[in-house]
Amino acid sequence: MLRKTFLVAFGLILVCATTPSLAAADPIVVTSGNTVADGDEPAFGTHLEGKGLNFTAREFAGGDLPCVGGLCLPGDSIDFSTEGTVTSFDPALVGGVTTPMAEARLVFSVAKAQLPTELSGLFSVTLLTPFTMRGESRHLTWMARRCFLALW
Amino acid sequence: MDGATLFSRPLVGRGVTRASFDVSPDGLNLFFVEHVFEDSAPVPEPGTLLLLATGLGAIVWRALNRSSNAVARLQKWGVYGR
Repeated sequence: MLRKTFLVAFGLILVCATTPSLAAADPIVVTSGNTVADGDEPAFGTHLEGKGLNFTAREFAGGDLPCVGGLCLPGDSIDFSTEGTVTSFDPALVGGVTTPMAEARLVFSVAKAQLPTELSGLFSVTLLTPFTMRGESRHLTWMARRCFLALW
Repeated sequence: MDGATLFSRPLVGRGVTRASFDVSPDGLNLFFVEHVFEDSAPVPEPGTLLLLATGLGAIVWRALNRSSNAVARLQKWGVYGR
């Protein structure tokens, strides 16, 4: 009797513990791709790949860039954290489902990087700093695609 | 556009931000910035590990219990050595 009670209680705990993860959609991990913005020319792009994910947009998934227009100075600490929404005009694969139009809202948290203090003899400087990203992809209906393309 | 959303999925990722600057006598001007994603294997949460360990423990406990019961039964029937 005690053993049956234990098994029932264990089963209930197992069900209760796993139900929230079943109910909530697991996040898709972006395993490769990039989002890039050129400071001088309007060359932008976002490409995301992962399990059941293939998303391409001709936009930069971020807001205003630092050190564009206004120059930065040696020794400045720069925060490249940014967020933005990009739209795929071509069919995108999100969560294993092909959709005619999709949006991705991405939030980048980038570790602050410091420019070198001594620049004599240098023509260019490249900084590398880690980031984490969280976001959300939205599948849009055909009606939204037609409206969007009409407005575009 | 929000009203036309069919459904949504959360996204996560990590990687390296690469920023390139042109150096001029007045300072530095951003040439380009790129967030490059890297493959990040999901790390199991402590709760998941605890759940897995509990499940495995229960399976082992049950298997051991069954085998000891089986031995006792065989001994009772005189099939297994006394």
